[in-house]
Amino acid sequence: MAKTGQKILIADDSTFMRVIIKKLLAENGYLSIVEAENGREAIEVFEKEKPDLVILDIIMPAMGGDVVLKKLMEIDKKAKVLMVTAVGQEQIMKQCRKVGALGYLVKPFKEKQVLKIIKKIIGPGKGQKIL
Amino acid sequence: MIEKGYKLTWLERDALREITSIGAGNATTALSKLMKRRIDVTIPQLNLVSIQTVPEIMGGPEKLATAIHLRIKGDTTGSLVLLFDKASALLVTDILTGKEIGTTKTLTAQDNEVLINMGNILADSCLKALSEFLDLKLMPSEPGVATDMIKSIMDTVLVEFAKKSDYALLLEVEFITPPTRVKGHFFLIFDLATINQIVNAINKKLGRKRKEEA
Repeated sequence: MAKTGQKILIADDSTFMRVIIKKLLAENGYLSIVEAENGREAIEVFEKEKPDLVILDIIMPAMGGDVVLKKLMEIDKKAKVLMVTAVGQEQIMKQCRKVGALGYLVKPFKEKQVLKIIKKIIGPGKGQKIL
Repeated sequence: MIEKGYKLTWLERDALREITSIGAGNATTALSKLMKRRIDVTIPQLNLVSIQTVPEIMGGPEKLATAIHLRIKGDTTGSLVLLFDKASALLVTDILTGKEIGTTKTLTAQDNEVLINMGNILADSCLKALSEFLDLKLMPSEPGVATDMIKSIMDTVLVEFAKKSDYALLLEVEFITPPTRVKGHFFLIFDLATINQIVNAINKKLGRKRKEEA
């Protein structure tokens, strides 16, 4: 039986980005990953799975990450959310911080940087497969 | 010679869209800092298109526009084009030169230099992001500026493409800077040989071998 450790929700409309982030997390002990490919799904999955951390893309069709963030904070004001963006807009990031995001990453991000910030928020990956 | 009907898997297409969007996103961030303005961007559109249709996609072959364009060299080849309609080009110039909005009525050689400088900064930002992500060397050539009909501009930009490929990968991002209403389009154009290289780099990053859809 595998210990899966902390649960992380990756919300990004790009399957490629979800695969890349999931791969990086899994290689570093974060084995319990759930995904959402749009804002609505992110909210549904968040309510159902209650993840320890949400990695949330800003630019998504229909419902942007900044709107999703507000909804998540309404559901759980202690939600831990890390914003991800390809457009490093300082103003949007400041607004997200005010709403409750714990930080943000600008793509393309360095893997060490991602792990450092995640470790700071939820601790090192605790998942381990028992062979 | 690249054959027609080049096939990408769904994941490869998604990856291409995402990676080129990251490049465009980094470029618009640089533009935002340069203009000291907020920039709103649309969701990027990525399409594999016939080279002949590119001027139509960009707004119509006879439409007047100002374009800052450069070639991408290094491990891949391609082009980067920043396209503005006439009014927006003049607005951008006013903003970049610190003049009151509405001052510039026609672009001078000096204004073109300012636009070229902007092109350099954007290209550098975009290609650096792509290079880091793909582990490929991508470098910009010296940008050029042209104010002309879109067809004439694109004839120059695409002349190298036409020798090698009938198709180009076109990424389009529209951006607006409220409240000045500067509106522009950012295009990344790659030929099929370059797409192949980028797709191989993507699959390497995913840790998988290339599969083609049936």
